Amino acid sequence: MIIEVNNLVKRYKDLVALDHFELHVEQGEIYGLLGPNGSGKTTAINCMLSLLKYDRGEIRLFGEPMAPDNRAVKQRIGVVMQNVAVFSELTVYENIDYFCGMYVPEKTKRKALVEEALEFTDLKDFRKFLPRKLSGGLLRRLNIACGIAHKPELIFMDEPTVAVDPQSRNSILEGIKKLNKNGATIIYTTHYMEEVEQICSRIMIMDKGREIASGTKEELKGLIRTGEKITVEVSELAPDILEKIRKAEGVLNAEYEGNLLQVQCESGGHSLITLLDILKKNKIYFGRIFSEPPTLNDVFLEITGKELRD
Amino acid sequence: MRVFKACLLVIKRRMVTFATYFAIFIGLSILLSQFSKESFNSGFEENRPEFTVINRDGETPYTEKMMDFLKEHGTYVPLEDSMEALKDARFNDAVSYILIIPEGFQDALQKDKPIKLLENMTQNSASGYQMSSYVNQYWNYIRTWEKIGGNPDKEKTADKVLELLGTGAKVEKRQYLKTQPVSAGYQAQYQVAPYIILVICVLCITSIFLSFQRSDIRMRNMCGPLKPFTRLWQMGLGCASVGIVFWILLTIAGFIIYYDSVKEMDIRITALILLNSFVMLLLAMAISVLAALFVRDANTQNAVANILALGLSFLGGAFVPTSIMGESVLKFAKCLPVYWYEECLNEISGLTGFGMENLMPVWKCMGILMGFTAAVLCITLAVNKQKSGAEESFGSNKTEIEL
Repeated sequence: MIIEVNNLVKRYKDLVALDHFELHVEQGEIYGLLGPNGSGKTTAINCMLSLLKYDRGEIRLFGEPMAPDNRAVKQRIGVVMQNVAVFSELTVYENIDYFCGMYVPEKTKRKALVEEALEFTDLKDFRKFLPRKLSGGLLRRLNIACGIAHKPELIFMDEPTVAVDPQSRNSILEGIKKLNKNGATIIYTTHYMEEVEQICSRIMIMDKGREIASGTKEELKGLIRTGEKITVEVSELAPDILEKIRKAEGVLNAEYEGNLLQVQCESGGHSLITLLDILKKNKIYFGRIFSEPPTLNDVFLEITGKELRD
Repeated sequence: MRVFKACLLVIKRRMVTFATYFAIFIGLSILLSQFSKESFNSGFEENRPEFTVINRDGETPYTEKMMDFLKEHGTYVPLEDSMEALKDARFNDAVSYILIIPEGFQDALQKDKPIKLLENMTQNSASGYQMSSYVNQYWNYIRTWEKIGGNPDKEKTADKVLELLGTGAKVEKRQYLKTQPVSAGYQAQYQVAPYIILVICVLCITSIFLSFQRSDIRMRNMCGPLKPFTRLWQMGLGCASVGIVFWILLTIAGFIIYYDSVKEMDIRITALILLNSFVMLLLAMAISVLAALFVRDANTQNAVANILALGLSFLGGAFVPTSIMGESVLKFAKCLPVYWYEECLNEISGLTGFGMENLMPVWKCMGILMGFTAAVLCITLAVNKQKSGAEESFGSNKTEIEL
């Protein structure tokens, strides 16, 4: 076990930021912490990194209790902060070299690692640039390069793709998968469900400092009644037919608005065929049909009654 | 030494600003040195008093040559032979010596029944006595020459007398002190040095702190395996190195600009001036670290640097001599470190020896400066502890920051 967090409680005066929080991460995983803003993801990470005091609980990394003076454990960790933590006065190369130098004192070894990090994040052409000359996406990549240059065994990534364009985001996510493939265990926090679905092997959904659910994405989706969401283009739909659809087997809810019929189905059923049968029998002409599997947002919505991005 | 190197890189990126301040300072100190009077000049220049001669005895070779002789030693102011004109000239200090050659003076001289010359001069005036002395010497020689029946040609006699009077002695001033005096320009540079030392130290150290104390960088650093003490130690070393390099540059600039004066100075005086500026540097670094705890962004950085440097330097007597300050201002100035730096510089400049007695005031001023440094450091530590609450323990867990 790389990370063991047991019964962690953290309070900010009256606000309970972490409420008996538990986390267990195995080696080689990309573990996603998913939750809305203020759900306690960053607080949990800061506690694990000993950047924050906590009121109760136990944190063990690599089997050792984590403490600010546990330099041996810190040596094996890489951190990519939520905010871009780089020196504005240092160039791209100097920044990576500085942060890598905290872990790797040997100059020749470090030089090779910095070059590798530049290559990995595709920042080679920008090595002499000052951070203020970089775009948002490049800055995020620099932030990642600073966190991973020393080749840590465990990497904490706290929302590394915030405010990044889709192209840069994909490039970052691909990089994270590559890091994992090279043997790094990754803790990844975000409030973008697509990202955790794309890269994480296991996911924990958090809200109000607590675990709402955890497991693989399939396991999480299996926890809820909501199945696929079917959208059908229909030019006209009488209220009685809509009512029939609502009452059909495997249908949880149906809405008709702006020529679009949206049907929320139960998981595990074959509701699409049933729906098409109803439309056919009632001589309703339809256009395109879309079917979306349930998302983690649906999981969150069903468990908490609110959207992830609320 | 990653933190140390990063400190130097941070300073390197702001080098243009520091170089600008330094160049302005050097220009200012050179300008100030032009207005400073040399405290000692080994050259000698004869005083040339204003005089007038009213000749009521008519022109003769003797009087003509006397006029030539007097004009060599003074400035002739022609005046009308009227009591009113002479009174006005004396009243207005237009002349400091008036000689009236009475009628029949030269005849009486030849007959060995001399008539007294009429003289008027400012009471107890050295210039008047100087001119009177020349006149008396001239006529005494003429009379002696006439008495011994010298050359009957009056012109030749007068020339001979002038030749005798022209034998002068080369005068050179010497200072009977155990030390050579401090050059005014060099002293002026060190008089205004607190300003530039403070400005550069505050700008450099706050730049380093602004970079390293940014909350995200601070947290990121805490995630690394480097001990907080090592990090702090390297930051301190970075700040100190920058300060010392600047101090060396200041010293070299002083040596280059005032090379001729400095090489004449007693090396012990030079060493004391440099030691004094070094103590000032230590104090400036302590003040800068304290200021750095309050500077939150680059906008306030320049303001803080200028307010601190200008305020302390101006009130401490770096730009305005303490001798012309009012009593209440002086009382306040004594509470400021720059005042004691300036006092120390004045004591060093006025040193006449290197005995314990001579040096005691110098050590006293430096001691007070060191005391200020220690006090500022104590305040800095207290403020820092209050602000950060760093690495405190609770139960079995320890954390480095509390947000």
